[in-house]
Amino acid sequence: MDADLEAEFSDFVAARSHALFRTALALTGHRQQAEDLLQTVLIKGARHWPRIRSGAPEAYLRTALYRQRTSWWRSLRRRPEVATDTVPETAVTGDATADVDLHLALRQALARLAPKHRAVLVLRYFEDRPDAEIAEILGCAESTVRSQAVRALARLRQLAPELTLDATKEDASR
Amino acid sequence: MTDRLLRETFEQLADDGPPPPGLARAALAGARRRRRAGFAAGVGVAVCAALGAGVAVNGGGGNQVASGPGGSVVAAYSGIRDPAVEDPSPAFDYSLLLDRETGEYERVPYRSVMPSPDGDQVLVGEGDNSVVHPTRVGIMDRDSKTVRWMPTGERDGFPGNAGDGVWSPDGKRIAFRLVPKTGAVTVVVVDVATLRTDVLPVPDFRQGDIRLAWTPDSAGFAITTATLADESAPYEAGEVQFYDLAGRLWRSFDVSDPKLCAAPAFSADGRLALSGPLGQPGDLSIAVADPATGAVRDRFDVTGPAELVGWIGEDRLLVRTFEGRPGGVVIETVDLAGRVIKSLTPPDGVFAQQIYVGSAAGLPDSAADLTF
Repeated sequence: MDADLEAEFSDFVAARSHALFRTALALTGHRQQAEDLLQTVLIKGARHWPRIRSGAPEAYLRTALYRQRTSWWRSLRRRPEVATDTVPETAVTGDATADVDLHLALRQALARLAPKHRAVLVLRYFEDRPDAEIAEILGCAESTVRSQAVRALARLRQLAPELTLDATKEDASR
Repeated sequence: MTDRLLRETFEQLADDGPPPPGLARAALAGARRRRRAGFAAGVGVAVCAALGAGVAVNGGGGNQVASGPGGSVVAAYSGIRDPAVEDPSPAFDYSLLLDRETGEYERVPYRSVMPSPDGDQVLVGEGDNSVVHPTRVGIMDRDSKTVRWMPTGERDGFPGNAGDGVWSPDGKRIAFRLVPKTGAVTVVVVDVATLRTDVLPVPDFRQGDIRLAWTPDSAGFAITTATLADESAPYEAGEVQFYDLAGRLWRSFDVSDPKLCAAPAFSADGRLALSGPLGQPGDLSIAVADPATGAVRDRFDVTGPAELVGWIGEDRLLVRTFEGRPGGVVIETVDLAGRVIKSLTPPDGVFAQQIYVGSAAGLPDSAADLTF
């Protein structure tokens, strides 16, 4: 890659790395892991820059973030759920700190979710992508996206039962 | 659990400050190092060896043309990531097509392939919807390998991915579920001979597992409508609806059990199987129902989680199991009592997004291990 292309790549990273880093943070929930993930993907981006620069490089890199994080089909079979060495605390609901506690409980539950499940939730709830686009990004069937999302939400409820109680209360207050 | 809570939590996680400085410089240096090191040689997977080792599968459930009697075979493995290609784009995925004369699989440079019922033509797809690799869908002649590409840009969302299409049993048409960026989800029927497209004025097919199942006479298709009380609740089946090729709803019946929410599956002679639940832990429930009234004739469970792929002849069904089931991911034929007749164990090596099953008739004896 010549100097001009390198300068162009550097300009692109300067302009878009913050947005990509936000996605990496949502995917990993951990700053160091997010930095590693983004760095890995940017190296790939630099290698392929002459080819991707004229297209949609940010979309390319964003897809690469998800693919790198999940290694979708390989992880489906080989990777177990992410284990943590801390047992999540049970959030207490019904007082002024309930909402904060729920967020905390959800963060802890997300940390224990398998990468493929978390990626589907990030694409749905953080990026607001329709299932067809999620399937395209993750390289799987749309029906798989739906089934994985259902499983992910079910697993979150299992990991943090207080989230279900919160939903029930919200429904009741409507 | 509320959508709001998830959105807020992801936003909080993403607001953990700016990225570290020097990212571009480090990436450029890393890319130079990787270039010098070069790709590891010999990473490519020998196709036959990989197949011998096994396949993970996904998709295609319930929307495949029913296989006739006399044994079946996986006619194509579609959407396989090539470990020799570092680029994560699906544009570099490949597929494997069964050569009926040799009984061996050949690698084709398409991310998606779906053979026609007679195997003479193949619906193929390539690209990743980028400027460099635009998505294209076409019909490949199996002998000459030439592809007639479908026109793009005429309709938002069409032709989409080859995996959205379903061959009619007579091989004359392909029905696509059309998912535009905005607007209703609908159906486009393509005439295979002329590539003429007809958008059918069906209701918005957005809810549930709206995969199309052609009726055995190729005169129309059926869907199972389903609703979702909220994002975390399972789908609940409503009706099986039958549409003709003008998009008219001409018949429907209620599904007796809301659990049976997956797409309907027809045998070659018109037997109907309903199944479900979708994406839930637990066993897969299958009901063989009267295609006119929906009355259940046989009902059984397959130890799940699993998904109905389609019919094999008139008295067997093909299911694939998911991770989490004892025995792992396998493709199984079961009889109408749910007894497993044969099992194809998915191996390591090739990870196909989709499989397409066809008749094993005419294959050489050397391909006996591939049939089920």
